[in-house]
Amino acid sequence: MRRRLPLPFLVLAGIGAAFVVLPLVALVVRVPWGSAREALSGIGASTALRLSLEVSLAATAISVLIGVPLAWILARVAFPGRALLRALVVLPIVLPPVVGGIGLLQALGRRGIVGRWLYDAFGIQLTFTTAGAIIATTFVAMPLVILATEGGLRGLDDRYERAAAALGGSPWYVMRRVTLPMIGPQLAAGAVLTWARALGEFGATITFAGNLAGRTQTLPLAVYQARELDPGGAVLLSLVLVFLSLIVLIALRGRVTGAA
Amino acid sequence: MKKAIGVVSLALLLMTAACSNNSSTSSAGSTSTINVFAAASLTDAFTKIGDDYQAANAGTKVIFNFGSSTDLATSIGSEGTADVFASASGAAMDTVQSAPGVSDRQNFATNSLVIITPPDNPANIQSIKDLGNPGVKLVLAADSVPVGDYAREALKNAGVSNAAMKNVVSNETDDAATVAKVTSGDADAAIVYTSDVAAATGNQVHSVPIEDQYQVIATYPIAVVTGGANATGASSFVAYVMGSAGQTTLRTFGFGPPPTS
Amino acid sequence: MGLEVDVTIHRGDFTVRAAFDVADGQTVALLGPNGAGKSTLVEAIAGLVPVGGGSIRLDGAEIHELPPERRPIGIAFQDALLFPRLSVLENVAFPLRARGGRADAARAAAREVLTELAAGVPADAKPAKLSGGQRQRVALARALVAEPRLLLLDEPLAAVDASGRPELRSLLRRTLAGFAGPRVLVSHDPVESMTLADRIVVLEGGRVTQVGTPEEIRAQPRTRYAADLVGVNLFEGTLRPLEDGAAALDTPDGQVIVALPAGMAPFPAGAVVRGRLSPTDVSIHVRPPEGSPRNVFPGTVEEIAILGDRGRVRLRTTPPLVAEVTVGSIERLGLEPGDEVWATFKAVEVQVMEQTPAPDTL
Repeated sequence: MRRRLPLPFLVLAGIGAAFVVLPLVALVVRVPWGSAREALSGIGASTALRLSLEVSLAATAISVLIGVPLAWILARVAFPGRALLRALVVLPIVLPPVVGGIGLLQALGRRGIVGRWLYDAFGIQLTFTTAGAIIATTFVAMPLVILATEGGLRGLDDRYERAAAALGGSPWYVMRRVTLPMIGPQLAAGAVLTWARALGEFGATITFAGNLAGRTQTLPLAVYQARELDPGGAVLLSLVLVFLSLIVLIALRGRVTGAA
Repeated sequence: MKKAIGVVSLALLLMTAACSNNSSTSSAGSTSTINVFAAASLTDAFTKIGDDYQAANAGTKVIFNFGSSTDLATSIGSEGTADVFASASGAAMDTVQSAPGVSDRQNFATNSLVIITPPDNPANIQSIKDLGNPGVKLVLAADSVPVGDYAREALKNAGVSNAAMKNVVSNETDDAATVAKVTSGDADAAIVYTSDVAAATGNQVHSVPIEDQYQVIATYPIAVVTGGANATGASSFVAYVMGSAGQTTLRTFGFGPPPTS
Repeated sequence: MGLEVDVTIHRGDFTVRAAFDVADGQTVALLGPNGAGKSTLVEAIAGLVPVGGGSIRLDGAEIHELPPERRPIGIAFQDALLFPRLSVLENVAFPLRARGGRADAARAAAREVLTELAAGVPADAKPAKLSGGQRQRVALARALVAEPRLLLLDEPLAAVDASGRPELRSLLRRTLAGFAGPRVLVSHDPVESMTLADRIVVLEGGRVTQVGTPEEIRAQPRTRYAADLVGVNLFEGTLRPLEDGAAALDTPDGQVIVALPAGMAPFPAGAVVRGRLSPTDVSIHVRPPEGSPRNVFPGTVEEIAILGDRGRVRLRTTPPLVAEVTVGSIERLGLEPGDEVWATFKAVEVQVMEQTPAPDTL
């Protein structure tokens, strides 16, 4: 029997679908296919693309490297203030990225509470550098890895880890050989989501790292700048971003929520 | 399947209907609204002018939309909800003049450029020529933004364009963002409007004037946008800005008088 | 030297206090109802649960303060707990590689053990593809591969279906017999324990209530639980002499009339004694019986278990009783669970025993 869906639901769902699909369709319709190549090179598309890939992949790698242990501790170790730390660590998702950027400036800018020491002692300034772009991007994207990993760990039966310990596995070995493989799907989905978010990051990057072609101007920043000078090129560049993200999300095939 | 298409079409129709409702605002009410699109550099000055105007004209509401002049020009062309446009560049006003058109266009203020550095002036900038010194972290607005365009012109005037452009570490989206990079201490120097240095940020930056021969004067035009909902209100507002009250306020915020021509 | 356990373990509100030894080459079964603390005890020996007080010694060395991975034990769990993402071979090789062994040597050793214990199981299969019995074999192989000094088996047959059990049981017997060190087996199944263990430690409510060989426990069960296990009726209570040479045994579950044994030393008033009654001495009637049996207990049939030509009938009476009658009688009376019946037995058939204190260790 065909399931009969309530009409109000259909209407609302229809609005939802149209809402999301419409801007993307408009992009495709308005692309200046004819002058595509000059438009792309004019706005430094290849540089921006390369930089975007560099920054997003680096940010993802760092997010996984420090996010997974952090998620493990949040999921498995009870300590006072854990709930608070968990909320703080996930905050960047909810925060407007520009606010994140401002916070990073206050912390790591040349006169920031830690940045000042970096500059005075080592002459290191993180703002206006690619490293700065990576830092800003990691800040907003890492919570996604943490959420996915913690979710995976919480749903894990910890009897396997206990069995592994009783059979001779040190905590590190158990984590490596038993725990992480068991949350593999969730980890992968988290990493991919993180990468997708990193790719689209704008507000924190431009606020903290600035905007300079070849050094900090990732694709989203290039699109923003192009839209005043060269709207057609901006549309084209936006499509590049859309397709990149689309490929990744389709490859995930619905595993975005972490369900294996 | 047919049902699904029907539903989506219905949804789209509903959405478009809801959106188009906006343009025909109820000017037949007791409150009249004036939509003013103004350059970001005018934010502080025009907010004050708006308050004063509303106080002087009870029952009127002035709604501002601040942004980069080029951005605003684009959206005026495609949207059509602006009554007044106050631009930081003639080029942006030209855009609006061609589509959808303007009336009552006049220059209402000028702005000049100034170099700002963090209070301790870490790169020891004494003049515009110092901006070409190696290793100076210079921040400008992007060249698509009027103040960024003017800044590059000034650098060219001073003959340090090549060296200075090598020092540029960031192209900001507008003058406010440019100032922010200096107040946070991360940039060694930036070129912004004189009006940006007034009042609020005055203590957080150190100003270095630009010699007259290199200076670039930005002329700010204002006009009534054709096709806006409140033409009468628009003209009235423009007149206020041109009048002594408006001009005094502009002066307080660091703007110069319009060129006499 | 073997295993010497003398510990107190706290788990929330629950405390387990146990002391027992297991000599090399000996199998001890921890037998008890669910929630008795058997798994807790084994987990403490494995190091997964901290010991609140006391000590655990293996071959004379204290191990209760070592982290689990440093204890030279092999353990197989109730649900096998094979690591889902590792193949069978990698699972079995795990204890060796975890302790720093080289991959190829570990895999070779794993293959050897697998051939011995789980010959039919493909080495590169993933655990999800195996049957319950196969998984337990692999778990056993995994427990033995690192040549541990102590073998712990937690309910090894529980997750295996009835058809697979006999074969697995004989495999276990062979494996246990071939293991040189001490072995501890956790079970709630009396058949399992009686057939595999040399000695049984009965654990109830966190305390050891009896220690002995299977025969000793069968002959003299000390608690209701133990008695139920071996299929005997046990009453425990205070004795109150009556006028005619009989006595009333007042148990918490009801009163039973017993005959005071002639040659026994007089009990002090209020002494706690045990009465043992064989199920075959219990008669079942579907109408209130005539005559003068002193012990008549009305109640309902709770459960009937047929074993060959005999039937064990569990009765919900006060106190609860187990009767053993012929299948013919069951059919004749038309007995079914829920039926209202009267159970009777003669007072002299209750064997009165003096209560002896529970042993500490053996």
